[in-house]
Amino acid sequence: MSPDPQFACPPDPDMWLWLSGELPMADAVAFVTHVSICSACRDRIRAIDSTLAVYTTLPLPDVSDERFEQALTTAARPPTILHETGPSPTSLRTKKLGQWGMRLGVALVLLTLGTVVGQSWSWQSDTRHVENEAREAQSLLAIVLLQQPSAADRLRGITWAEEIGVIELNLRTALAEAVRYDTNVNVRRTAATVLGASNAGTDVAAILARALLEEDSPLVQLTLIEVLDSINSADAHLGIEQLLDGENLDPVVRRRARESVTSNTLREQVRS
Amino acid sequence: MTYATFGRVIILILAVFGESAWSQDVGVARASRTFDDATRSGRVTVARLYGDIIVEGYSGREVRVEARAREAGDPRSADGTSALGLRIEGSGNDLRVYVANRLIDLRIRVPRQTSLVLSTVEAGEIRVTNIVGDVEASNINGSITLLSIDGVAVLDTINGDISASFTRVAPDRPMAFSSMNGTLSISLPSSASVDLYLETENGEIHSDFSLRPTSRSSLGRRGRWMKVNGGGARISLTSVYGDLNILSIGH
Repeated sequence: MSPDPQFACPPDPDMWLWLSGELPMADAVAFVTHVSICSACRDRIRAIDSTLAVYTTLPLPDVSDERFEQALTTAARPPTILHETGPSPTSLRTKKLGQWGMRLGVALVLLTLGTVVGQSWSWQSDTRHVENEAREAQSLLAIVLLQQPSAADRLRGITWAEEIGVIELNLRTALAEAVRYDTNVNVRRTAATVLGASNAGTDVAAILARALLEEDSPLVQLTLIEVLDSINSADAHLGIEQLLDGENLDPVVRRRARESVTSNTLREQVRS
Repeated sequence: MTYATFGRVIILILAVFGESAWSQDVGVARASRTFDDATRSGRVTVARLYGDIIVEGYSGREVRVEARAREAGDPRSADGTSALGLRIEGSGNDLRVYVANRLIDLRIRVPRQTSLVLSTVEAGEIRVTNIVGDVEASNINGSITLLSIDGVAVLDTINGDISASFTRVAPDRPMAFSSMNGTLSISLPSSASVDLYLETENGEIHSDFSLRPTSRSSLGRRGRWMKVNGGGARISLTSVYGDLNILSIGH
């Protein structure tokens, strides 16, 4: 299978245009979508951005006609004979020029330093902006993938959700729906694991506990017990205890649920 | 013509035409249909309670289904149509095969570039050969066998073994295989670069590949992620009581 063309890496000129805010909106959407999933492109953008920063700190050469004429005159002048005693007007000029040169040099250094610090601050801000955009785009893509007919695509959506790290509310909701309603056992299992690991608070424990009570597949039940056990909250343990009330529970599931309840009871005793 | 000769002729006629009539009517039904857009890959869904689902990819354009009742005889419905209830429905490139809820085995030929969603519960195995596409299969009390797959698979069983052989592994699409009591065996090209999640409570793990542990956080606390050939596509294998076998096709 050849890679999807929409996921091809954008060329450098597009990155320059995007950094300068000149990439057309229609292209920018596809661009950001791609960059959100391509670490190589993000690295490349950072490199180009750094290069731009260096260019902006370099002093511009004086290429005016006046300066050019002056250079020609200097080149045509015969060599100057220096007086051995006392400062010559030329040396005085040189000295004065040296003082101004020193001041100019210090000014340039300060200017460069200010520019670099400013650029650095701006670059960090831009980087955060890029990362936020990337995260949002990745969340959106994960949600879209979770709605695909192919179970492999839905698994890929969950994988992306896992890689985002901080899972926003919309994506959390999509994952919760996958845990409860997806038709595929492996998708439900993987979604439960990623949702449980998102550290998203008590609502996740309640959702997973409810999913455990609704679930028919012993494979998914085992995963949910493990995830709820690791969340270790009141909702989580209540869900596992309620599961044990069921009559037609798979023996392995029942054993794991009992183990979880027992270990939680021991933890509670140690705490008290 | 003597009675004996006449009798032989009758027997011969019955033998020739009777066999033909049997294969056409008794316990067998056939149906076929093409995808609306032959330039794109299609998808075929089969959800059964009983019987085998055998699917084979071929170079043709039609989806051809043969349903065969495993019990003897073929009770016919009042209108004279086959009681096997075979039909293919759907729109566009998304087709679904329906058949009566009896012990009926299905043999399906599909264009090679077809994705499959297959499930059965009792007294049947799922077997898929020579497919370029996604295969999603679920079997409660039987096995799942995939051969010569160029694509990805997401498979699960409760009591059956899973065996899947891939001619190529897509670098950016995950796969997952899980079972309660079955042995999981996957065969990958020797050059395949994958991240494997391996979890079994009571089974053993055998690998033709060199497995290197990774720092990736585990899906579950009982399993581990391992890298093969530097890592790549994610493949998770989970069995509570079965063994896990990772086989190299070029080994």
